[in-house]
Amino acid sequence: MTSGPHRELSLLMFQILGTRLGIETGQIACARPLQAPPEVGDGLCYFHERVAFHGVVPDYRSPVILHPAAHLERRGGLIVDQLETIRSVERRAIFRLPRRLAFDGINPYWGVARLEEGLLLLVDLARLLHARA
Amino acid sequence: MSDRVDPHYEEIVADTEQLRNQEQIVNVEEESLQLVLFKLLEQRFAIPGQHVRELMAAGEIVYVPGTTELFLGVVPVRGEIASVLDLARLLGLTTTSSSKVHSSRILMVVQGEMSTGVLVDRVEDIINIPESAIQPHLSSLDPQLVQLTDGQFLFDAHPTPVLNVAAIFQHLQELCG
Repeated sequence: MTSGPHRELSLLMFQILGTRLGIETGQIACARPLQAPPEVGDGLCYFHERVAFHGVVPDYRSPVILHPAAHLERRGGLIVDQLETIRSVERRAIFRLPRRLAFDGINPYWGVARLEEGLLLLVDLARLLHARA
Repeated sequence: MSDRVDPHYEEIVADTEQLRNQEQIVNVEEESLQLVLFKLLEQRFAIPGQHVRELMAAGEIVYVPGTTELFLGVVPVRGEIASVLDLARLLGLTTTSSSKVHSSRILMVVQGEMSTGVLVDRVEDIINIPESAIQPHLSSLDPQLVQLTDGQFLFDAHPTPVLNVAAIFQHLQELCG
């Protein structure tokens, strides 16, 4: 979702293994706590199942399911951890990731936001859930 | 000193002068290479100065999940975001520990339009050496190191490998697909 005269983006921020990540709220239909472990066929997947953390399996303290917005035409949901806040970020604070980065699987990011408190990696929910297929 | 002058004296002086001039010409014509010397896991390496854009303190390196283990993460550099390469891992040395990260430096390395940060333990010196001082590697050196370096030279009586920046970027490009 773009707020203001298209100069700001609204981002849902969360953390996994200490890494701060964000997803544009316009890509998310809803977020709800994970009540029970996901089962095969329910279309849910943990973030680390799509994006490896150098072999480390995170211990999800406060798992939350992010369901994709209808316009993404994706089903299921992505399980992330430690929701922090929803924050508006100016577009001019958003940069491309270096082209020289090499990924083990898909590149799930569309950019990185430079905030006062540090860098925030911006995840493309559509790309991540599409990679599940 | 005798007043007698060797009849060949002037000829010898002229020959010597000519030899000196030739040596000077050779010295002037020999290309020199500026090298940045740095330490990585207690081993010394050199990188051609023409490829080093700047040196910066390694502050917080933001880990990027999903990347290969050759990358430690990204850092902000002058309005851009730069990757940080784990050179120790690339060269087949022992993995850089997290405690090292905070006491290290990042060399911003460029090759044409490509650039990346390279984590090193410390930068020691910037020197100029004649190109002829760089010798081929010993055959006993690690093959990965041979592939990514351009030979070695003696510094403080120790063989010091010179990194081949083009080969390093070529390697990274192949990884990026």
